[in-house]
Amino acid sequence: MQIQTNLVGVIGQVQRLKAHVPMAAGRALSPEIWEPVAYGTADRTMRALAKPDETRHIPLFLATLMATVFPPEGLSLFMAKPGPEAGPRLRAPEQILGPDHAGTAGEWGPYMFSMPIPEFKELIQKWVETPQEDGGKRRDERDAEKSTEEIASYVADVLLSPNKQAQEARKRLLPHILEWLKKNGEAAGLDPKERGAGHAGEPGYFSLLNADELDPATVDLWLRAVLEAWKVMVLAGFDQRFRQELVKMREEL
Amino acid sequence: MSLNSKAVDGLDLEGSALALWQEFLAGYFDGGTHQVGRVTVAFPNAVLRFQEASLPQPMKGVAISVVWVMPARVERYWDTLTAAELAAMPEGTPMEQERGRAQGAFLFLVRTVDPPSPGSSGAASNAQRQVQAAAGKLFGLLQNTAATEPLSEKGISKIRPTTARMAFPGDGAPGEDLGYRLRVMSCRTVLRWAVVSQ
Repeated sequence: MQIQTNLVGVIGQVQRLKAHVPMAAGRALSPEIWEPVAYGTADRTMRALAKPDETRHIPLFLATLMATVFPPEGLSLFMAKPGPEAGPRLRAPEQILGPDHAGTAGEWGPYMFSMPIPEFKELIQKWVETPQEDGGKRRDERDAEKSTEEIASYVADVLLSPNKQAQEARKRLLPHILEWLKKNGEAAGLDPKERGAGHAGEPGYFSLLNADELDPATVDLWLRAVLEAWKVMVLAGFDQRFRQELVKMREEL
Repeated sequence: MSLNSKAVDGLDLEGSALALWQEFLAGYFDGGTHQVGRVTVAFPNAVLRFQEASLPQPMKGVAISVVWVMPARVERYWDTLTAAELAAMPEGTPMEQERGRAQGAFLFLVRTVDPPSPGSSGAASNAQRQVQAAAGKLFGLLQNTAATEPLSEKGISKIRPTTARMAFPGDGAPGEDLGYRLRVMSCRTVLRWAVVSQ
């Protein structure tokens, strides 16, 4: 009788799983998948709660919705009361980089910090597309196998994420982006005056849209209800998506 | 209790699932008493609304809005139809059918408005009690397997409600009184239907 062990093989499999399971979880939590679902869920929840004369505020709330990567493999869903505090979520340069940087971004700082999310993402895309020698993003080994779109999407997610790790990365990235904007912004077809955006906390894009304020209790109520809806949305959908990604991963292995 | 609405239908997933909820909830929240398991329970009369539909204004009493949280993805598998399902199908439908299955979820927004009587202290104090009672009964109903069996037979199964959360006021919410009370309850389910196009 001969007894053999395949322990080495099992350990090898486990090692591969250790690397791939987080990857599958990350794919199952991809913001591109969840953003439209989160949007529809938030829209229906707020419409169910709103009185007929309040429904006009709903698109403004939805304009603040963000689905971003919560590094390393998580998902962050965000929605806020529309207004100056919602638009400039990136915050003024001095708040991120320290008081020495107050005003260093010139007019480009307020422009960037008060723009709507889709335009902000386009801006990051332009920065990533710019060659490094012209002030564009420096490519490192993490960017090696990614397309320009993937790099831009990741950078935008990092800049928008409230996560602490992302905020550290934001501190490193932001001076380069602002420097590029100062040198190349107008040539890239961007005009800081076109929106007349104010500094963080001053009237900007969102406050122009939001002339009428909902009362704070209603805002609070809507946001809490949407949070509850998102929670059940992720709880109900994540395991199915994760399972699917694991199946794909097994096929790839 | 039996339900007359059609079973969950792959050609009208949202509409068929919500019609089942409408019939099911209307059968209980009608102001009468009903059996839930072995217990007789007095249910309030509630206005029912689905998806984006606003409540009638001015509102008074109990209202329940049901919001469907779209399933993340749909799985398919082959199965044998039940006799009841087969009876509802066009003649000649094979017993072996492909089924669709999705893990879905529903959000129940339970609201009450009860203006305080003149001279009474404490705004909407009855609303607080009413919303608590209505949300509690809804939770009890949905967690009772016998009571939800008719939904399960029609394709809404594995109903797992969470206890209702107090969305306002409380939990640090602003204390301003909007004149109504709200409880938010979520419920995970599995939706199943026959894919009859095969």
